[in-house]
Amino acid sequence: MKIELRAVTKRFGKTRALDKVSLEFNPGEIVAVLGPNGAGKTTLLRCLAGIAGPDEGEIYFDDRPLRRDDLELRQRFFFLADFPFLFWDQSVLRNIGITLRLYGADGTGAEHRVLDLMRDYDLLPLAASPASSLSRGQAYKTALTSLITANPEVWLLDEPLASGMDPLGLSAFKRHARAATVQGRTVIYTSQLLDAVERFSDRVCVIHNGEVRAFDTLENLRAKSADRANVLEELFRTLRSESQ
Amino acid sequence: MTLHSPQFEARLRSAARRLIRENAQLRREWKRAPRTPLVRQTAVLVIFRLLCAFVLAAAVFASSEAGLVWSTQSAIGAIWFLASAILLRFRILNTFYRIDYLAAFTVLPTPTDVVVRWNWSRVTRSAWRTGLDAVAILSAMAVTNAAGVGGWLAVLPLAALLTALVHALAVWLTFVPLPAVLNLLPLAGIVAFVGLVEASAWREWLVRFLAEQSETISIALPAGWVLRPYLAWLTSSRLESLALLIPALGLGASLVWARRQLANHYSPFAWALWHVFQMPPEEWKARFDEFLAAQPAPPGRTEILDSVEKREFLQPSFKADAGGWIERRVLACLTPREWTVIELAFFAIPRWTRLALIGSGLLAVSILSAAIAKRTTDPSIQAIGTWTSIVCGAVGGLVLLPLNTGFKRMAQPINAGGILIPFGALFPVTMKELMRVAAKASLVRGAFALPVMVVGGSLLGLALNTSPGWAAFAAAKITLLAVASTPMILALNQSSTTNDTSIVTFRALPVVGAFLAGFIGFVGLGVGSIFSPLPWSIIWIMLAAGISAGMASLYGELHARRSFDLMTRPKET
Repeated sequence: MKIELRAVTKRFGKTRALDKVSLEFNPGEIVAVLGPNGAGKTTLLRCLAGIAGPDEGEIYFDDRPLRRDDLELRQRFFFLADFPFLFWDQSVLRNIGITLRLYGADGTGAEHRVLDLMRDYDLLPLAASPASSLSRGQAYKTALTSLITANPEVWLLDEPLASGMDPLGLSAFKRHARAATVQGRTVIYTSQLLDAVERFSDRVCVIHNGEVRAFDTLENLRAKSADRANVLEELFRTLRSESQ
Repeated sequence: MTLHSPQFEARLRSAARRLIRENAQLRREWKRAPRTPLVRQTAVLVIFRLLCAFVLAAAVFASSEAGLVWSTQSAIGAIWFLASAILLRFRILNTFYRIDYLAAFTVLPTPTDVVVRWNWSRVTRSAWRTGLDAVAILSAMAVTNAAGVGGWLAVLPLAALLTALVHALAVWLTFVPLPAVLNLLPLAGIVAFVGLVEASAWREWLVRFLAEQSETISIALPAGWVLRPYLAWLTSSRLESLALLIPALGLGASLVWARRQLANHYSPFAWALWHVFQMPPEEWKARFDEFLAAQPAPPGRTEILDSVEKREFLQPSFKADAGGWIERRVLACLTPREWTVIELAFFAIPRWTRLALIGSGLLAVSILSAAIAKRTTDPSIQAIGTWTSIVCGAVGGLVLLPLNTGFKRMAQPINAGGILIPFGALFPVTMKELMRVAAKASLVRGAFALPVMVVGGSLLGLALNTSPGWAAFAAAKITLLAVASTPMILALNQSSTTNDTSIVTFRALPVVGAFLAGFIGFVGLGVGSIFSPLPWSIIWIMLAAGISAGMASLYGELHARRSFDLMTRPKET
């Protein structure tokens, strides 16, 4: 699904969290959204997920403007906050079950997919445990299992690389995300971990003070950079020196 | 050890400002950084409180103008301060058990007594509200009773005593389990009072009621122990009322003991650990271990695999035959998708049948009490019967009628990285779906409540020697209004966590204005329909239902268009 932001502005009081942001995300790519604290990364994700509404501009999913009552469109994307929303008094399986039913993804074969993912994320022993007994990483893995089984066209993930998942969990997540992009899914995530981003993104979107300062592939960014080995760090240093 | 050091914070602030002044970029960022609009918040709070104090004083003036008995003034104050104490009781508990603060304390080396002191300082800072009300009512009494210098000099000490008394009562009430719905009682009381005053048929009853009961009220309710002696002194009548100051002083002084008791019973870390980190402290651990030992063994790997293979986790968790009659009927009306929506909204089967039965029982008590009060000649039994009838009738009606939709969970704010997001925001569920499910549930609950209300209304009419037909018809209309209010209540519930985070555009103001006008219109038409004959009453109800549906549609459309955010204003973007 093609996602397009056309001159999107979002204000919080006098602060412009997003300032006339125009972007286009293509199917089958992993995009990392980077920026200093308070740059507007999470606001961008929240706007894409319909949690925040733009003050100006519009967001289109396959040329269709986003409306919160458009259930069919709403079921095509999945927003995973940095600390996932779970039903804390319910078991891990019940959490996955209700999310899949809400996404209409409970058809035949869903159970096998869930089983495979629970094995991958070491959740099987916790299947009957209440979500309240999970660690942060385990909670994130539970939400990821729902997401991957629901198989939405767009994955919107806030700080998945700093979600508390163990190295094997992170590795499984990256593998599943990459496999999803092969099927034409789009993965958009925020992060502050530049090393990991360099290895796990097709394109990088750098936001600073609500403005898009770079949106390109890493190869192109490297080609323009003086420090090719640390292109993203160099970019951040430039932003900081501009500020000062 | 104290949690708040103004000197240290002032030093830090001035050092930070010095650094910011020296750097142009930091100055720009400082200007752009969001800050809590403390002045505006405080101004709104003060204006609202002044308005409350004005209403209270106006009620005293009005009772004096109307020539009501002198004890009416103290009765008005006594009821007001009882409501204040109940609200304060909830505020104290909310302050002491505020989960995000407690979660922070659990990871800081903070002794419990320091937390208690800090919480008390926050509660005490809000004492000015009660103090202002007390000054307002005592001043109004002084004016209406032409007080001399002594009378005016007594206003401030008595206001202080009244404030201490209300606070003591509120603290003692924290040991009494009260349903959260009591938070709404003051608002419901004001609406009921306006309705009574506006309806000429009931105004006489209200005047008679105040004439007969104001003595009882001002002696029975604690705030009356201060207000009544003051009035007696001003009017030089019933000076024996001065003796009431003794229990008033006693209750006021018990504030110290009450606070100590609350501090002794306060275990914030146990609570916070249990809910936030799921690590029960030692004294709870033993009990928890016992509980676990008594539970069946957790399913093994084979059982889990088997359960997943059988798709049990994908089946609805609400069984069609679960719950009571109302729950079963509601579930029978829902489509499979709506079934999932109601599970998301409730997770445990709602207890509507139980609520309806409790409400019906309370209505029966109300009718019985009214009948006893009407037939007895003993004034004390009359007073107790009347009061029991009113309280049971009001609470029974609130519980029985579908006024509490139960869908508030969808709007329950969840902390997500420093901002609050309504629980339902992250799931693919539309407002229309939610409205449809709530409307179906409300219709079924209304269908149960209607015959109970009609029979209850006619019996109450008989008990009060008024027309049973009129009373039954009024009860039916109240039930229809309750059902009709569902879309409006749901929209108001959901809107509690949706915000115009832009603020500077003021685009929320027309919407708030439209909602306020709609709410007032609904209440006005509702009250009008109860006291109007046919066919007007039906027309008013239909108009009220139209307003309710209109408000829900307006909110639904704005929600769909993302005219507001499903979050509070973020600290970080």
